[in-house]
Amino acid sequence: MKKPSGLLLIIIIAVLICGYFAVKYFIMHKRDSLFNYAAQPKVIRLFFVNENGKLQAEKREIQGATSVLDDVKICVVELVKGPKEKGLFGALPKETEVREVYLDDNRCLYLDFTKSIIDNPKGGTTSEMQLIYSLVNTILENFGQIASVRILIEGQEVKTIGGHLDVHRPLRGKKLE
Amino acid sequence: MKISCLLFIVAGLLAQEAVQNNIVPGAQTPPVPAKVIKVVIDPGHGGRDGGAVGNKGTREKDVVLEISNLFAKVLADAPDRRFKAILTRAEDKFITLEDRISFANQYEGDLFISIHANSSESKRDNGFEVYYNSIATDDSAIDLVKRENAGAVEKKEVQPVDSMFVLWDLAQNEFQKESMDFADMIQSGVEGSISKAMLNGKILNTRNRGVKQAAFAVLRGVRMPGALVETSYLSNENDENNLRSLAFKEKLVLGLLEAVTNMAKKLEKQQEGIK
Repeated sequence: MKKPSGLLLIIIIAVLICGYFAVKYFIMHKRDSLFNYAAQPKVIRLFFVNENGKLQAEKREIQGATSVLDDVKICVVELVKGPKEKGLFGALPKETEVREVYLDDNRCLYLDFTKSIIDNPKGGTTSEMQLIYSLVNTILENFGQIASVRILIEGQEVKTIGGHLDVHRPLRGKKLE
Repeated sequence: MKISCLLFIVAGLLAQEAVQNNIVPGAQTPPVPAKVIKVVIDPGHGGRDGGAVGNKGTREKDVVLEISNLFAKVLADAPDRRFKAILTRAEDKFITLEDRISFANQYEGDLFISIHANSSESKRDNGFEVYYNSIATDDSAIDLVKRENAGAVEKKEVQPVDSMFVLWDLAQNEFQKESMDFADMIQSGVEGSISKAMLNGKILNTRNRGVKQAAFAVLRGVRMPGALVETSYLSNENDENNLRSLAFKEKLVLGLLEAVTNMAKKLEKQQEGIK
């Protein structure tokens, strides 16, 4: 039997390499089509604390970005700015800064903050719960692509934000009653 | 003769039965001393972690330490010396949550109670509330656990991450039922004690916010029934005044004592049931 020529071998290798990159491109493109979209103004619902200590949504129009992750960052910035409606209170410290935002294969969003979010704790379980769920509820309410949220500080997982509630796990929405 | 022999044998058998069952008339068994119940009291925060601060400058770490010390004293003074109080901190010192948990577990406490003062963005929020550890943190996770227990969850609904944490939670929650009962007892004990008129006839106006579940880091690791008490809101003017008053703190710890006494009875009954 005649051995395959060098040219044929090169063709086979070239096809395999092209195939690999084609599959990789297809996967990335599919993911991008889910998370990249045209920037356009949109109305979001931000959760703040009302006079009875419950979380209440306030609608706000934002100039949307070109990806879910950038829109998430915009939402957090708007939460930090605080409410515009009377009788509502912001739950996040004014100094809060986001370092980065990631999404894993389980659609869990990682919100990575600087230490600013824990530097000046207001103390109290209720304040801590208001902070955590004003963030989590806002994200889950506005982004159907996200199933849960995890909070990181300076890139590290933390047990608690203010010494009470365990946030070392994916968080989901909670009504504060 | 036959009858007397028969009677003799029957009497012998009855006597043997009586000795085996320890019911010989007139024989007195020494009273079994009640088991000493070890109560681990955990004053929240401390040292560089001040916790919540009221408008008048009342610091959570100080007020919860005062309450915890008062509570330890009433437990030590309880009849029959049946309680042993152990504090995770007896001074203004920072202790990590992990150290609090391992301290409680090393002492093999029977009950764990963490004392805190609350704070909210809303100044209206007031009252006391009692928490026990939740096997699920959020509404959807609680719903998931309920349905999973009922066998109504389809596999596709449970993400790998969720199922891992739910299973971990279930393994951690050996004392969930007892903790829930303990939290109920604290709630009714405290409500009862603070609704009673004080010497000056005044009744403390403190709202009972009930028993709640949440994933408290400090409750998750303790290997005993445990609860966390949010005594009042330092962010609320009336509540802060209460927390500054010795009368309120004394009433509060009497309510806690009643809860621990009731829980001790329950634990003893459970032990008897096992025997």
